[in-house]
Amino acid sequence: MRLLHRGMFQRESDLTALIERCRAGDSAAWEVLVDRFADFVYSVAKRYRLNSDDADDVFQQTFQALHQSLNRIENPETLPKWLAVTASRLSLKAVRIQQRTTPLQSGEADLTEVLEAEDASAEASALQACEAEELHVALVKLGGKCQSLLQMLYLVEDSSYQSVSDSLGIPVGAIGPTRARCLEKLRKILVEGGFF
Amino acid sequence: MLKKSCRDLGEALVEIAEGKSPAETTVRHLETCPDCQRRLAELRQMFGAMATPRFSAPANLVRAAKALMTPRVASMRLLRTSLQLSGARYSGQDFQAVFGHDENEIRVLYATVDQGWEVTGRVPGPEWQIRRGGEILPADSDGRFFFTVPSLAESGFSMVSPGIELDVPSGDQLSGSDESDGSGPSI
Repeated sequence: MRLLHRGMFQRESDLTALIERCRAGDSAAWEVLVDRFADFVYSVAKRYRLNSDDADDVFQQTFQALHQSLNRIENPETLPKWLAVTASRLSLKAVRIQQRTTPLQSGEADLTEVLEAEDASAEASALQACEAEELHVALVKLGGKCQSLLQMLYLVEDSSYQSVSDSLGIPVGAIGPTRARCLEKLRKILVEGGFF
Repeated sequence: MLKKSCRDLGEALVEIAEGKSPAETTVRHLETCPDCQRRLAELRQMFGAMATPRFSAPANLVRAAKALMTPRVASMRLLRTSLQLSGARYSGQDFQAVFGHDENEIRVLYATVDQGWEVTGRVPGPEWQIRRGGEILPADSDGRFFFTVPSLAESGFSMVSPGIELDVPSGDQLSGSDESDGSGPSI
């Protein structure tokens, strides 16, 4: 697995300072940390299609775990992955409970295999979560009409070229080339951030 | 047949990444151009990330998570000061004060400077930091810190360590009385 998070979430020096302040009991720094990763953690849980109560529980338990583990996070660069893996494992546990079945019960696999499969699943989910978040950060950094265009085309359902043209004032015939240029700008931001 | 330049393939690569079938000329170019192959792979990875849904955390959950770190706040008590006994008026001269809470003490020096007052002190241990106005103040390797304020009324600050925040009152709140035996300045 590639090294996750090479500065797209936040410069390493900023995250290091933030975590140090949290360790010192700085509640203002803790609030900044929660704000920074709240949507990220919640999105991991929701992608497992958990009901609201279970997704809420995963969110709370993940931040409780973070609060208790602040002194054990040696490398701040790994914090996004740590959060994603923690939330993924908690989500998988909730899914298992929800389904009320396990491979162990069906006799298809022993506990080690089940846990290894869940670990692999949590890691894969964490990678997906981190990439999605990095892209979101890059889109915000892109800003301007490019950000609006790409969000309308790819993040809004049933968005047609006409509706994009009406909203952004770009002629329909120019949307294709503009889209390509904006994607190239976005790609460069992601390259600089070590996304690929 | 003319070979398309990489620059001309911008839109075509986007359409391929979106799942559309490429033109034959584009296919031939891709077969021989590692740069365009890489750009296409990167576009596919970008679209994959964009397709991953993102959700906003409910405000009540965020509030509850923030409340996990709520420090215990207490005020430090004036223990000793170099100000003259009650009856004398504080007259803008430099002075020191020692504040305490449980086993924690801090000595603070208030000195007049051109801009107003310079407040100097040293944190009692490496686990402590000084916070003022929501910002952590830097301290040197010996734990010494300082800041400058236009008036004593703005000289209050906090000492922070994991789980506790101790407020040090501003210098203008000091009465100037020696709390020990009343016989004179104790610093």
